[in-house]
Amino acid sequence: MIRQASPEARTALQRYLDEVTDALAGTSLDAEEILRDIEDHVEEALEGTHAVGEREMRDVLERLGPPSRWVPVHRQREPTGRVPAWAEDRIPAIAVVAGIVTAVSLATFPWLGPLPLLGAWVVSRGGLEIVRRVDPDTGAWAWMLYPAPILVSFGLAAFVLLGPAGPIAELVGSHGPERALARTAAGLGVWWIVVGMGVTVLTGPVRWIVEPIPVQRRHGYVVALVGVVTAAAGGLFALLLGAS
Amino acid sequence: MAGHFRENWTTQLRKGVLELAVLLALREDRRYGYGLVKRLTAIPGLVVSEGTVYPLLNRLKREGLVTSSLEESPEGPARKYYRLSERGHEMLEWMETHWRDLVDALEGFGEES
Repeated sequence: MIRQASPEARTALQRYLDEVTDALAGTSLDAEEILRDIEDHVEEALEGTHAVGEREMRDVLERLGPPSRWVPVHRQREPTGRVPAWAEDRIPAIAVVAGIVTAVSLATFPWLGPLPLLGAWVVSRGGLEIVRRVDPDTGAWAWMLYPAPILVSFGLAAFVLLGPAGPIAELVGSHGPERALARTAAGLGVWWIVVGMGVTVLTGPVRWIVEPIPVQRRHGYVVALVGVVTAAAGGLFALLLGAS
Repeated sequence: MAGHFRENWTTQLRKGVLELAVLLALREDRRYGYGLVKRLTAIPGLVVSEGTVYPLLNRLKREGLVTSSLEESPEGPARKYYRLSERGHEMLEWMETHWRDLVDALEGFGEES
């Protein structure tokens, strides 16, 4: 039935499979087997449907649930990395400590810099890991585990993406402000291509670092695409300004 | 508030019995994934979402309670059939005993009064 499906329906299925692949990246699960299970299920569910369009395909995929569903049930039960009993019983206390450390690190940020925030990240990230393994349906207090990882993740993303702008500007030299800006943009665009492709290859480790932000492989492609556009635009402007 | 409590309680209960239901369904007969999904979704009150069954089957397989094999199907391409392993039968027996004990104990509350 999949072979007889419309191009739109096949695209919808492929997108779902890509998202499942992304969600499985970095886990020890057999992605190939899981993808085959999904395809078999779709094949069976559409059996007897005369015209398989995008709508019919989406109905089946919606009933299967979001692509992320294929991961948590497995990951919660991974036999490795068991949570010690003392930690299991003290999740609320860990969340409160994480919340306090985060608040203190933010209050002292102007004087002490990002170091205390990294400490808050370690505590919060550990708490999130325990919650994920013990019981993802935790209470309302769990929000205290999120601010530090989110702040550190966005700070890290800004540092990785924009940090090289200064060295690149120095490297391209001063040829007038407009040309320097165009060359810096081109250089930064090339850097974003490298970063984006890095994310597509190392999706699992990147996701682990920036959890709870659900980074997927396609986000790497988006960054790389923005890099291509920026590099092309910067290069073009640098050429035009050089010619004039 | 009461609605939220009911919803939460039934969700937890369903989650808890899903593994038992899968093993019971596989004791009836070997089943392919979609057939098992249909069997489970037909049980009133269980409310199984289709996407939860396959990850559960894979986990039961990793734990050695279920085995799978590709078999030719007269209706189309080969199907992956799941069946209970010997360990699965033993585990199911233990789970059933535990389940009955629990139900008996809970029903005992009504009889005492």
